[in-house]
Amino acid sequence: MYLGWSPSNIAQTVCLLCGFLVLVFVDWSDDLARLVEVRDGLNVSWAKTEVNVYPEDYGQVASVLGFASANNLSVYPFCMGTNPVGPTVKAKIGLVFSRLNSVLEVSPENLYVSAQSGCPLTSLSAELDKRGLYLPTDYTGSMGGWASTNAVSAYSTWYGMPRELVLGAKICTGDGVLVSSGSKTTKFSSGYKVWKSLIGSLGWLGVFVELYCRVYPKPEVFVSGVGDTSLLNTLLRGALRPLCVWVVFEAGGREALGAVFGGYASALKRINTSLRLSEGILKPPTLEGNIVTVASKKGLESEYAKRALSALKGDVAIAYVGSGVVRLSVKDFSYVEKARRLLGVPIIVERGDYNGDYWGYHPAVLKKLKQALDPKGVLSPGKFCLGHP
Amino acid sequence: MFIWNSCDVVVVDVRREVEEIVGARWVVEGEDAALFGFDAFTAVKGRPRLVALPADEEQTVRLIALLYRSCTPMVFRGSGTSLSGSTVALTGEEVVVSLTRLNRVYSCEGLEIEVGPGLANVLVTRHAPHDLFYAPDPSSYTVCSIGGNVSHDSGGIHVPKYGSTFNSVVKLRVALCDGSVEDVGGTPYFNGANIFVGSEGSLGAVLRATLRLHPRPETSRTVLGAFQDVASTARAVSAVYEEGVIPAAVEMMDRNSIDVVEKSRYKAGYPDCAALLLVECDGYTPQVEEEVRRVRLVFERLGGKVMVPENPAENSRLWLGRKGAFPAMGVVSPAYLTLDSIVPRTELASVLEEVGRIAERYGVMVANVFHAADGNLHPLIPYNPESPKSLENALRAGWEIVEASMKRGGVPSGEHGVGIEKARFMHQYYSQSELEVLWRIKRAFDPDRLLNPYKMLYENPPETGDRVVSLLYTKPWEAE
Amino acid sequence: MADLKLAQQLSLKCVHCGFCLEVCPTYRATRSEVHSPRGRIAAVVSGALTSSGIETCVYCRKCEEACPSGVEFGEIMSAARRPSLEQIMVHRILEDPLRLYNAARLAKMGLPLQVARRVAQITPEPTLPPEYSDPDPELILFAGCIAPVFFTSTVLRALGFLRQRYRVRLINACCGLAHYAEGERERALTVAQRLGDAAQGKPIVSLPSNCSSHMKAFRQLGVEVEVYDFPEFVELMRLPLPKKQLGLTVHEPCHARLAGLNRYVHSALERMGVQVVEMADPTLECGAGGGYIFEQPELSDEIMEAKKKEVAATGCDTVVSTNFACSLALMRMGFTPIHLADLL
Repeated sequence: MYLGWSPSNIAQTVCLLCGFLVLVFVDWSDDLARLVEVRDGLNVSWAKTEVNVYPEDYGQVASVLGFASANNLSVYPFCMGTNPVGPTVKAKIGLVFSRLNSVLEVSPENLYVSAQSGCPLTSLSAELDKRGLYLPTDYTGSMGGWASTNAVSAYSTWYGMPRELVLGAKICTGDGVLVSSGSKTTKFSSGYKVWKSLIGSLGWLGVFVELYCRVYPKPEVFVSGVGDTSLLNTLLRGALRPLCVWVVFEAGGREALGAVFGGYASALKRINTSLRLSEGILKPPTLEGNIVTVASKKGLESEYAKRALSALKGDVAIAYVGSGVVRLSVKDFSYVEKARRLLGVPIIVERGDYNGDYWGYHPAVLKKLKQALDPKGVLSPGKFCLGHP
Repeated sequence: MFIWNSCDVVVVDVRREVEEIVGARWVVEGEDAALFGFDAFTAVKGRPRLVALPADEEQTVRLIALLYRSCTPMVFRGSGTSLSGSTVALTGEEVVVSLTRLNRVYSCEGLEIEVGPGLANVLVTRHAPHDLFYAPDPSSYTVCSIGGNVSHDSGGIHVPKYGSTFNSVVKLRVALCDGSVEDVGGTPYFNGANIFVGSEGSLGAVLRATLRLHPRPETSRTVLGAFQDVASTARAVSAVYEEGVIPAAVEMMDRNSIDVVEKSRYKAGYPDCAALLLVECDGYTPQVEEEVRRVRLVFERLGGKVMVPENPAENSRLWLGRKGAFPAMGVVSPAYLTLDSIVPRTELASVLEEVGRIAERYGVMVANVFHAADGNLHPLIPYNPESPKSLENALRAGWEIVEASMKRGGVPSGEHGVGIEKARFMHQYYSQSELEVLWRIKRAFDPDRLLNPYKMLYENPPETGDRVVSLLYTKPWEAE
Repeated sequence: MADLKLAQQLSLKCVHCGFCLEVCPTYRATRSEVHSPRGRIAAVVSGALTSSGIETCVYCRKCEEACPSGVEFGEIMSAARRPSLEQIMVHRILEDPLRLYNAARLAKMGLPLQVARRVAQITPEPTLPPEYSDPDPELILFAGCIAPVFFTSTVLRALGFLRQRYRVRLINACCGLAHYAEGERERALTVAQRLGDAAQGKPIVSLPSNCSSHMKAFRQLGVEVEVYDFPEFVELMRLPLPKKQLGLTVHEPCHARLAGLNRYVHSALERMGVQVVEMADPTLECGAGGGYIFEQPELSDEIMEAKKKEVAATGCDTVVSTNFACSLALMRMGFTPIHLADLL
């Protein structure tokens, strides 16, 4: 049959091609729909996906990822989207954990909690509170988000970050293998700490489906204090150590220190300090807009906060004392590269649009982990870069 | 730096090249090399082909690159105090790279101290400012190396409050098999150091570690509780936490271990009881005083007799007795197995009962000393080193204890690492697909499987002709 | 003759825990298992008596203190070692101070033997060993082997001090510690018996503290003697001491520590009003190790480097050392060692 390029032939060919494309498109989405519920994708500043899927159990999570790896379809795992970090991700499939939202077990005797990764921190905290326990963080998103972003909080002064608090987890690799890593116990020397590698890795190495976290008995009372930054050393090395200490630096030169103490009422009824005290828990301010994270040396957060504020021409810097983390809100990221050279510590673009290198570090170790845990590279492509961009 | 595709068995004269890198004085071979072939897991003694003691990071890296590209298996060794056999030169082909000479303190700033892997644990605190201390303190802390601590994720008695080595590792400088060096960690996101902690030298060598220090607490108080039965003792551990106490340490000793200590040079004058708990509370004095008050109440409520040391000397003696509990076993036998499994606290009483039954069945004496707050059991099983049958018997009893712990939601190793000792249990604790993921990680870092082979992960057992080794590598479901 | 069986028997107690490593001066110098007590025991157990570990042990016995299992490491080394011909020769020379004097003079003149060259390097000018005895002496002043030849003034001062109150007989001889340490156990016994006979039941006040410690253990060899270390005697008898306005630091010899003798030096110095600036670790091995300083020059120097830093940190130049081999090491490090007797 001879196909001349007549207008009607062209029209037919075009339709055929479109149909073919639609078929291809519809093909994988259809196949996906046989594994899990599929809905419309996401289109927000921090992520864009073509479709979103809502797994109801871990098996579905594994199937989705297995499917994605087999068909080279990129996946963006997320839940509540309260704290996006790093560059925007464009992916075919948004893997939403909102249906995996239960608290599975609270053990006051063993001081751990077991929850699915889509469980909101607020639900978890409510369950813990009933039993006189708490998870020391003020994160507002999901458990998986908390762990994947290794979210710092004022409590990190004493309790550390998710890196220290997550005792174990069930994770899923990029190609759909479920792995139990770590345990509910406080110590683990029985194999590679795969779950620890996923903490702070923003879903780029693997995803959490279930987490076991250390919890603490809630102190009888909390007492907060604000005061002058000159009190910092006394607070850290003095007899009464706060659970939380932070210092806020503003571009204009204002500095303010905040602290939270916790303990028995009898022990805290009289605190010898020049801080202005009040009952309850104060929190450091929330940063808005463009945010930069500086990895300072532990114990030197205030010094690095001041230097970073000036080098980045930032607005506000919060030094989370003892955690090694400083976060700043900045107008733009034009000074990031210069600040990296000046300060000599990792400076990370946490939130905002940046056409440069968000991370500034690219160890081969991360490349090897990626190779091992997400061999097809389907998880959050572009979130972390392996070479210099 | 190096472009290499696969190791090349053919040409390299390993011995000569090693000598060229470290200098003749720092190469050990022949009979003396055997001295580096084993560690504190004395059931298996190996014999390295060669031992090299590099002076610094540069020599170490060159050594690793040379050994890797010449297909030479290697074992990184620190103080040789691993209780799981992590540094044993199993096949006789391994070159032991001793990192003991990399024992400098590089810097100390803020709460961070940067040290070499060959530095003994106790020296970290000694080089820190007076008001700070390094928290992870395994019983061997006077000699165990930081590199070894990182490789095993070592614990110690202060884990309940201060965490294990993992919590104290900030950054690592690691040497990878191709001779490249990376500084990883020290970032809240994408922390490349995490995977190395507890990796038992199977992914690369630790050249340098930046560790975190803690400010010293104002006060530290000890409360000893002597109980009439094991169940109450175990219950007391959880009860202490339920009172809102966060103890710095909670150690438990059973009747057998108390007896052994009292017969040894670590004699501490422990009271007569079925089991005792040693609790340490530290921090702000008014807070500690309230904690101590509550701990006493808990103990008394559960029928325990309370004893509080009256002076620093008595306090030291009580703790020294606990720290000396392992070596005190020498009064029973110079050879003993030290197990290391974990169970949730609520399973303590139950697992101890089963340990007792297992001990009876195998006709061994088991002394239980452990980090009760972490549920970390250290059953000590003595055996006659002259009798292979005695060792085998002790090993089998130990296996049953590990299985009893895993059955109760525990893990095979809490802090001593898997090494040789528990390698077989990896096949029981993990499923085949999970093991495959662990292997993927291993292969990404060590494609030719030359870094500490047969430790922690293995597919087929090593051929050594040693009966004990074959036993240790029998998979749990295999007949022997 | 090495007694391998005994050495291996004593090694059974070792559980290979490694607690001994970081206190061993040779391990601290080389960081090699070969030069650690644990490694040495392993070599003995496997019968590898030619391991360089065995000959490089300083015999300071610090490891015994650190060992949780009560391993008698000193005994193991003594049993496992077999002295070389050279060592035997050195022992014979040490037994007779006159022989030592002549040998030292020959060495200073340039005798082309490695050991002789080292002796020439390390030692001060030799003097003829003094001889003295009061008629019907009531106590013996034992000056050891090194002091009569190289620290003669110290010997004379001690003698003078004791003669103020007692009738003294000076004995310059060897106590046998070097023999025992290096495996010449039978000869060590002979030397001990000879000394016991010479003492004729009189109490012995010994100047070199490590010898005092060794002699206090003569009972285990079947020789009965009554021995006091010089500072011990001074303190137990509450002998009056002059007041001295001085600042100095104190070195604690290894075997003296084992016998609990170092506290007497401190209390004597306190009575004299001397300002002692303590080292962080006064017991840190000096590197002398008796004959070690001559036979293992390289390792000995390395150990001395570490000790030098420790002493220097006190800012003091004068170091009280009640053992003369240690004093030789301290001199080599550039410090001014003095015995308690030198202050009297």
